Amino acid sequence: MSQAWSAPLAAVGRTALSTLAGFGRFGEFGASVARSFRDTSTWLRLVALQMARLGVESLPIALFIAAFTGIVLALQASYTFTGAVPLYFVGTLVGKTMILELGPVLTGLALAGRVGANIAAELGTMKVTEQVDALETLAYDPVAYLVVPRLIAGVVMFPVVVAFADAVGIVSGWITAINMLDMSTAEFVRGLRLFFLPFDVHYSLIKAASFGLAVTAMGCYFGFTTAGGAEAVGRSTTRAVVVSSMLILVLDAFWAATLL
Amino acid sequence: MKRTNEIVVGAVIVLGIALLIFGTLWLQGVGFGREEVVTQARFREVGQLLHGNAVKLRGVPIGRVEDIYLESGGEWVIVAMKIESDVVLPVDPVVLLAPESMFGDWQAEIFPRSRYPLYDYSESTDPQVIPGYALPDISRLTAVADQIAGNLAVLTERVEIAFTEETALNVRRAIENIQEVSEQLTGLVDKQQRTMDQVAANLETTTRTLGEAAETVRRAFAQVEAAISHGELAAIIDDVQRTTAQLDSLSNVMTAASQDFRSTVQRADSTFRIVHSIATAVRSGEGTAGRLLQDTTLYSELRQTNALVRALVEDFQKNPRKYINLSIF
Repeated sequence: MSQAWSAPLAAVGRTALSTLAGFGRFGEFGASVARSFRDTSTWLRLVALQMARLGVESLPIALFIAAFTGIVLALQASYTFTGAVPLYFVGTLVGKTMILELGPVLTGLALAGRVGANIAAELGTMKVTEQVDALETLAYDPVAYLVVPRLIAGVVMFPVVVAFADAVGIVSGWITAINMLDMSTAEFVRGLRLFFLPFDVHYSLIKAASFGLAVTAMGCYFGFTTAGGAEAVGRSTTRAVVVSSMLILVLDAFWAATLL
Repeated sequence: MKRTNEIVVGAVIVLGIALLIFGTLWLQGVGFGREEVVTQARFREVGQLLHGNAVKLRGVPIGRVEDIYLESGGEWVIVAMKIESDVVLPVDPVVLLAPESMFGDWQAEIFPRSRYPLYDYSESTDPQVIPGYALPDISRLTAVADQIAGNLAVLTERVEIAFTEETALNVRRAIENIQEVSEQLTGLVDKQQRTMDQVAANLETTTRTLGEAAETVRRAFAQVEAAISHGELAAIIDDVQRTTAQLDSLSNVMTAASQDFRSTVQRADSTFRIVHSIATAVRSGEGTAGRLLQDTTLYSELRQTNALVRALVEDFQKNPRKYINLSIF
């Protein structure tokens, strides 16, 4: 077999094996997380701290994004609906889009950058500086100490942040509508309520929780699997953000296909 | 620090949950602090009605659709509507489901049945369940319009195939014939109209006459009735019997008179025959009378005598002393 043929095939083989190895490592990581859930004495006292860092401290950026998203949605809706469609559908579009799609997804992407990168960088640094090993030396389960509180905080706090983001997006859309689009509050509320279903909120929260799990899991995994020096930390951080962002979009499509 | 984190996180979570619950209820249109009752309506199908759609009375929102489910058996749909408890529904209410706008949003509106009595409402044996009917939405109307358009296209195609020059000529002739027939019919109708007017006038006259006759008969019957009631009929019958008897005797007299008349006629006949024979003799100039009548000489002489007498009288009047000379002494 010639060198010209063997090199690409070897590359494909290496990539496949590497991917499978990645899945294997992630499976092993998941199994260790599942095992560590039993160690409540370790992770329970750290959850509140992680909730504050991942959730409460993420509120400003999430609400900022949601506020401007609401404004843009209202303006673009009125631009699109000019003439043919009644203007109260601005409320419908703002409400439905914020609750079903942009609230969870934009918040998830923003938090993937902020939270995912933060976790990956923090855990990666601890890994390369052997602080994780030190925890093991001190008889701490590093997964229970570092990963489980972050996963729980992500799953719990992402829906809370998304709920605030949905509300702020709708309110900013409403303020935009009544101040810039010559709409009344009654018109906007009529459109907002027109096709609203309680399931919309459930759908938004389910997506947010899954995004929270994906972002924190990727951050923890890539941080925990960092090997090397500072460059490896940067690479892990980038990977965590990229993969968690991709996962958010994949999960978005998955939930749309399965729940709607 | 740890305590502070717990408080902040707890506050954010509680606020988030409260926001979710309040926001969901508000977007569903739940009236906070407002008493509501659940009313059910029955439909054959509900179109695009959704949970949370508006329920209206006379155009005013009074509640929302709370639940939509199939009745046991699956042939009917029950819509539960949560409406304000102080709203008084009309007598014999019905619920109509219809699009609220052209963009897919539906509503349930309550009307008295008398407003739209012809719809096929889904009645229920339970008097608490309001009968309902779902109007067809724009998609169904479009489907029907599409079907009509298809039929029109087929019809147009057939007309195009059938409509040749000869057909056009025939149609034109037919139209002319129709016009002619129409004119004839118009004349006939006018004539019939006049006839009918006359008949009606005659009928009116006849009716009036019949009415008068009926009135006369009524009066006669009234008189007869009065006569019967007053016992005058027996007297009339007696009079009639007496009159009949008198007529009978009169008839006998007339019979006898008739016999006398016959003999008189016979005598007159013989007299006439005699007169006839005399007249015949006179005409033929027989006898004195015949000669008097037939001979013109006597007539001339009589005229001359008459003239002489008239001259004599005139002279006598003028000169009486010539003829009368009276002297007493």
